[in-house]
Amino acid sequence: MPAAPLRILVVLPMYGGSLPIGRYCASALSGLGHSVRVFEAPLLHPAFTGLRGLGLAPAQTAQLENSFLQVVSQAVWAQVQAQEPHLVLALAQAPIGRSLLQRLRRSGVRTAMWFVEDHEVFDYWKAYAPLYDVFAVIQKEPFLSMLSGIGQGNSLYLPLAAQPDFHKPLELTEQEKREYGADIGFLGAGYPNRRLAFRQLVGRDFKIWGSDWDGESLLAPHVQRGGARIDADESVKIYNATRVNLNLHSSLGTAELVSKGDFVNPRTFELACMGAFQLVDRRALMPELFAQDELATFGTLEEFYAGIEYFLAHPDERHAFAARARERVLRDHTYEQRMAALLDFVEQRLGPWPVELGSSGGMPSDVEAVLSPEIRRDMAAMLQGLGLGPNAGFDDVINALRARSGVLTETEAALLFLDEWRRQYGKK
Amino acid sequence: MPKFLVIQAARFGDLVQTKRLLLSLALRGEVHLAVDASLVPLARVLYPFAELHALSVHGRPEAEALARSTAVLVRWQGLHFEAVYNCNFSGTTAALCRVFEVEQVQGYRPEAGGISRSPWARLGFRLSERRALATMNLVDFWAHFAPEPVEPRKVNPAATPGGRGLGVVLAGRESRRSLPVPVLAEVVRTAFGALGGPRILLLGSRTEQPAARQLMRHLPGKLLDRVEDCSGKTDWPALVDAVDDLDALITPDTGIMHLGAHLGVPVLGFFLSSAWLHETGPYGEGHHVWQTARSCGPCLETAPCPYDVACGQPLAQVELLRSIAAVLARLKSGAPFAAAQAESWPPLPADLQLWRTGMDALGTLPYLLAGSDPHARERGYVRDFLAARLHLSMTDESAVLAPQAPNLEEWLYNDADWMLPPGRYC
Repeated sequence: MPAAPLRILVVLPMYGGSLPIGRYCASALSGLGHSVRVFEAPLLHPAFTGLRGLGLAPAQTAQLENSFLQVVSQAVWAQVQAQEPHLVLALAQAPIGRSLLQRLRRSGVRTAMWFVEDHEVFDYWKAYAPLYDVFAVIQKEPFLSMLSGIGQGNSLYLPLAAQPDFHKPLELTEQEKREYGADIGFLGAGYPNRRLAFRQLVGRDFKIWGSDWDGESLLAPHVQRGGARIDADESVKIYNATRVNLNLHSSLGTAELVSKGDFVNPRTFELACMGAFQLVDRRALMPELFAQDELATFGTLEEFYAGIEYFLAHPDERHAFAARARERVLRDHTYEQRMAALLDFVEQRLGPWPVELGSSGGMPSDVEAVLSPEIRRDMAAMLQGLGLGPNAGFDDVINALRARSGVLTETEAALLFLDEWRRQYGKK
Repeated sequence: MPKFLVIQAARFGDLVQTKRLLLSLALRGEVHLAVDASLVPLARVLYPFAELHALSVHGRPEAEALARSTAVLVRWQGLHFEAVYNCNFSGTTAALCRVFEVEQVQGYRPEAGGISRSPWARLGFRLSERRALATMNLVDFWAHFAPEPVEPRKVNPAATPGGRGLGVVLAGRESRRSLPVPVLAEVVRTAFGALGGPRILLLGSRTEQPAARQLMRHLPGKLLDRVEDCSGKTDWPALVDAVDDLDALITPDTGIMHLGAHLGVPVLGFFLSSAWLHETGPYGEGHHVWQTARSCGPCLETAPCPYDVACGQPLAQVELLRSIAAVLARLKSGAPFAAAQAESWPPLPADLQLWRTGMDALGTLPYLLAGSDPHARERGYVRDFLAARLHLSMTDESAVLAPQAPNLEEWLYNDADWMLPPGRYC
């Protein structure tokens, strides 16, 4: 655990499955008392779609896309310059290209990527992994050896997790129960293996939520809202309202509908954390994350269908599994625990975090000398509002205030004024 | 049953090289194939399962030809294709595709102001930026326009001598890519001897008839009795019949070479200048290609050569003839080629390589038998990259060797493809 709060920049991808995980990471890091800024790449996604909507010639669009990514990259760099983070944490598909990674390395800024993807499906890690200081992944062998083989010696197995203040049990209204509830439910994309496996459930009280179910005429009556995307808040309601949540890991192939892969998906942890019952396919890395009596699992389609019938008929067993799974996640599988493990690993591999004299971890003496008791009193509440820990230093407070939009209180403005004043007289 | 349309408006060789895509689609539905009207008789022989659509895309615009293509468009509108595979990065085929919803068109799509490419097609273009390091046969490139193409081994029969003599293709469309006639004469004489004096068929179009006469002037009298000059005398079905069951086919990179591979005739290919085995080599197992490998190659067909086609010099050396004799002796013996790589083959002059075609999960892959390949590691790396992109499992461990060439990752892994939504055309 770092001795003092760190400044961390979390770079989100513009879109996709790793985006919510990036937000959970940022929240968890703040919860650990660090000063976190988030590079909100999704804000720039409309610019990308806008480029494509201009009706330009494809060759021009391709050039503009590259230029756009350079601008995004420059924006990340600008945020790095403003925050001077101890660590830049990128999630898979974050807009950090090779040249920026090289620049960050030259500048001495530590970088980490949490590659929350299947290395066999997304092969880009081969190009980017060696450029990060630390590369965290959700799979073990042979992936870790492959990373070592391409020069990434600081790779870390970091399984996915849940965010307890978000993935939590909910009391639903009767209307919500009617809208979201069903005997059987699935929320996710219509991968080929799921399409085939779910066909046998046609005609049941079965709701399918999520996108990419086009062209599946048999399942069409079960697909909710025409396959529209479901936001994270609604997903918690759906999971809470469903009696048997299906969790079949995705697979591009259809030869084996139960793919028997290695990593455990985020849905497993999230459902468990909500106390919602799930029937999940067994994965190679599952036994070290959950005990047999914490998750109801299946290894074949026959077990899958039989499991649905059994657990629909045995609500007490459903509740018992769900309660044990929730307890396990709260104990071992939260994003705060993952982020703490990541920071420890970074420190262990790259050495102690730099100590900045007169900065984090306390107030510089010249600041101490001029702060009134009223400002000191207000600062405690201010730290909480800024998402900072109680030990945040003066620079952390100033960085957080600079990043805040909207009108500031008089105390906040006074602190910014003080910082500028000190700069003017060369105090820094 | 779903209907698929494949538009292949390029030349003879390209039509043959579209085979794997067509076979793949035929397993899933009804295949329609649009080709230039001049190639319809050939397409009928090659792909009897496909319904053909005659376009008029070669030659100058004429009223009758325009009317023919317009009639095709009218027909297409009534056929309700599940997908349309446009194989050509060409304004003409893009214009024809405008009768379809843009999402229906795969490969090269018409867009306002130009043609957009699928991620796979873009990758193909990227590979062509560093041709010396790339390795993907055009047959496999087009095959992967559609998901889950048929297994590579099911495309063409393995090369096997058929007993009907030696075929000699006189020239390709680009004379710079062909053996000079005196060199070709020596190659033919050597092959004639190695195969025990078979009949010799000279193959080509009417344009090649002077080259045929010139070649015969260079051949010894005892061979001439066995020579049959078919140049300019075969229509498409007759050409297919002539090539079928030959013992071997001596050829530069030509449409007839691809036809030979289609029929399982052992190809003895001679690739120089812009011709590049790793892109357009014969498809299937057991063909042999002598590839020149000067540092300036492969070059651009359209660019003038500042070196007076120096890449042709190694092909004029006596070592080539020894190499041909060794390959043909092995072919004639019927001994399996499985261990060919481990055997000792006659040495070749500098800048000349002998390759034998084999297969991996991605498709046809050449294996070096003689000469040196300075780019072997890079090509292994690229092959591994392509297999990963297609989610194919490869057993060739050579791919894990660290490549030597700089900036391979920048070349292959494009930032935009990683950071922007997948599957987009541009």
